[in-house]
Amino acid sequence: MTVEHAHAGHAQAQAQHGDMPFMSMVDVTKDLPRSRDGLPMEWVEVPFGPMFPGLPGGLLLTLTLDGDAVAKTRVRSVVGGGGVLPTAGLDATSFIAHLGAMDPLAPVAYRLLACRALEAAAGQVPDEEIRRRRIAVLERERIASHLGWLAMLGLQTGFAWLERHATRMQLECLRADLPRILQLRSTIQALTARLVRTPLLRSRLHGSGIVRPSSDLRGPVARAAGMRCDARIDDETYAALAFEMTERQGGDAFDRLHIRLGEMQQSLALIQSVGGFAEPASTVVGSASGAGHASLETPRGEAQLHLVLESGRVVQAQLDTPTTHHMKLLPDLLDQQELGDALTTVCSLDLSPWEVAA
Amino acid sequence: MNTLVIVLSLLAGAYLVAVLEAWLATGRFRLAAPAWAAVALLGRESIVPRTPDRIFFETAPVLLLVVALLVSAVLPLSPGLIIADMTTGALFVNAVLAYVPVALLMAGWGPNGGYALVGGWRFLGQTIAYSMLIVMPITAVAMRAESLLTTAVVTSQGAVWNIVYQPLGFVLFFTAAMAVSFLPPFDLPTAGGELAGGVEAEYTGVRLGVFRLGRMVLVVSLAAVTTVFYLGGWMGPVLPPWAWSAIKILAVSSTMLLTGHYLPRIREAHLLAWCWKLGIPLALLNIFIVGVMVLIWP
Amino acid sequence: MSALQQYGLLLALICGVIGLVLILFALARAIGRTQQEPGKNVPATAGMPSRDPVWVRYHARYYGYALLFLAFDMEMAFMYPWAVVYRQTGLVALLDMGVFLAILFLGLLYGWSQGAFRRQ
Repeated sequence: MTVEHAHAGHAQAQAQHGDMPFMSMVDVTKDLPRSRDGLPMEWVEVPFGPMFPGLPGGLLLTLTLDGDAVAKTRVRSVVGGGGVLPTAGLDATSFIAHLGAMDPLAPVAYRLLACRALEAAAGQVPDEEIRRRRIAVLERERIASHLGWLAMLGLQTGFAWLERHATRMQLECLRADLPRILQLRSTIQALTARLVRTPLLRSRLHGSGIVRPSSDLRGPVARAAGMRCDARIDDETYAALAFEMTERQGGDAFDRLHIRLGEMQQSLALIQSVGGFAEPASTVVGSASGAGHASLETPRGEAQLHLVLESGRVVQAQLDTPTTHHMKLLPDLLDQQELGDALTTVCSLDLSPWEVAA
Repeated sequence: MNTLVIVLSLLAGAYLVAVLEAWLATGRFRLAAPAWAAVALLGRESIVPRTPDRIFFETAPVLLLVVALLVSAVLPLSPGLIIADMTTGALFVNAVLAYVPVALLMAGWGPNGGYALVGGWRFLGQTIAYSMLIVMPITAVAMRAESLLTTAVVTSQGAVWNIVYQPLGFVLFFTAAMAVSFLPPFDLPTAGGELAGGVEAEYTGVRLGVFRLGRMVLVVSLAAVTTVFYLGGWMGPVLPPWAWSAIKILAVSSTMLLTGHYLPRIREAHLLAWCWKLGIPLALLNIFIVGVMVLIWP
Repeated sequence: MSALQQYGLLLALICGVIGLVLILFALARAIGRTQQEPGKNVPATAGMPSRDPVWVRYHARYYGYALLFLAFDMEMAFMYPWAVVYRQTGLVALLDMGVFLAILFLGLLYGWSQGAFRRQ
């Protein structure tokens, strides 16, 4: 029942009782929505977002609250749709920049995705060393993204130390060159050890937002639920770097924390064995034509891009992003959760509203 | 005279705690930070939401400040330096603290906003969780002192402080005191990442200033209660009594603030469950242990 | 100081605090008044206007605890006078209160077994 309806019912109930000497509680509450425990209560619709501390900016959650529990969830992105291709199409270099500008939370991943799809369409295979160095850049972004997520988790759960520490580390990581980023290793290990030991953090996250394996899971969320879901395991460049996927079985927010903490160390190891960076800024496709497909493991999970190239211009592009799938999970996942737990669950999925299709 | 001295020292204590909080929040130590923040709050507009319960909305911050000051009115800072040495002192502390949830519930209900409302009701749940852990340890303290006079409580700790005599009670009381003053990790009613300020969300300008002042004074007052009941109040070697009180109170309030900095917020369901399933049995055990000890070795 | 004087002093303290707050309000008003502008007085939300009133039948999910809390809160009224005379009365007082608390504690265990101690 909607809130307006509930209120109309309430007013109606009162009007009926205007001429009655005794106002029965049963009558007053008969039109109210029933909670899980059978009590008739009024529900309130409260917006969380698009600028809520502890939720990714641009995400609008409208929660219908039954007391402090979530009875209904509506979710949408108010900043999504940036990746839509203009009708006139784009030349290759602008397309890479266009896709990279779509998601400010993972620009490198989408630029690399665009490069790979363009190269596939043009039938080119870049040099092995370039491929390795691009992976190093992608992995650096993964570390930065996970640190950003940790900072957000700190903000959401009121863990002030984590928020500040992770933010500082993220800034360091974004600016770091190779020797500096390898110095981060001990800091990240220390952070991991500390978070595992922090009292209350386990009880805070354990059992929150348990997801079962399904086709809508991507990236760390899927791997925390025991799915072998990672675009990197099929990539021969990663295979040459001896990449091993990690997974956990629980599927709750605590498992997602563990997966991300482990991935940061794994990414550092990958960067170390590559030993250099190459930004995926542009690629030479000339006036090639053809259709191309590429998939890539962004920090949030696997993203796929299909595009059609006509004499050097991108005329069609179709993008599939992890957040688009994860947002579909929310209404079922948040149902009947306590408000704080529900928001922690949303935070633990690490959504990026920017990469959602309009 | 006593009244003035105590009120001023409380405000000074609250100021220092605010300096510490700003230090934790920004990472820079600036002695003037709370003063500038206060001036900024005074200069800002204080907006009233469009359909408030005006009485609740206006009363809540003032009530919080009144409660915080009344608590320390019955606490001695040194021999003779006390506003009212009431025969019901320890009970009075309890009775006054019962108005903290009233103030927060008013602040939650008054402005008619979603975040505030949830915050207010949440704190009522928090009250149900912590209040037995305030009341029961104080009983054990009164058993040893054979009096509810707070000065008698201090003098009863001449041989050994209560923190050593009844450590279990201290731990329970200290935790509950943090929950009363809704400091992290017990900041459920104001939770930044869950309610965007909660009961504080609708207050701006001077009203927010009064609210924050009330909360700071409450932290200092509860630190003073902890000091008087468990840390031997003004007692200590070399330094004058008032200095010992000041040192202990500041140490306790800093510990309260620092603890929350390194912990995530507790879940309300867990707070309630742990307080009732673990806290209350332990508090009863504490009363029993102290009961036996008082008869054997007072 | 008699008890009446003490309460008088506390009342004066309350009045003093209210006076202090009024001075602060006057100071803020002297600095500048609140401008009345449309959309300013909407209850705080994170960027989207929310509905009001939100004064509803609120579902407080801790009512199981709340019922037991009443029993324990009553019990504490007896505990304070008992605590004061405890040492004079000696072992008998411990046994008396022990029996009382044991019964109360059984109540707690009963409530626990009936699922009072969880979110409803």
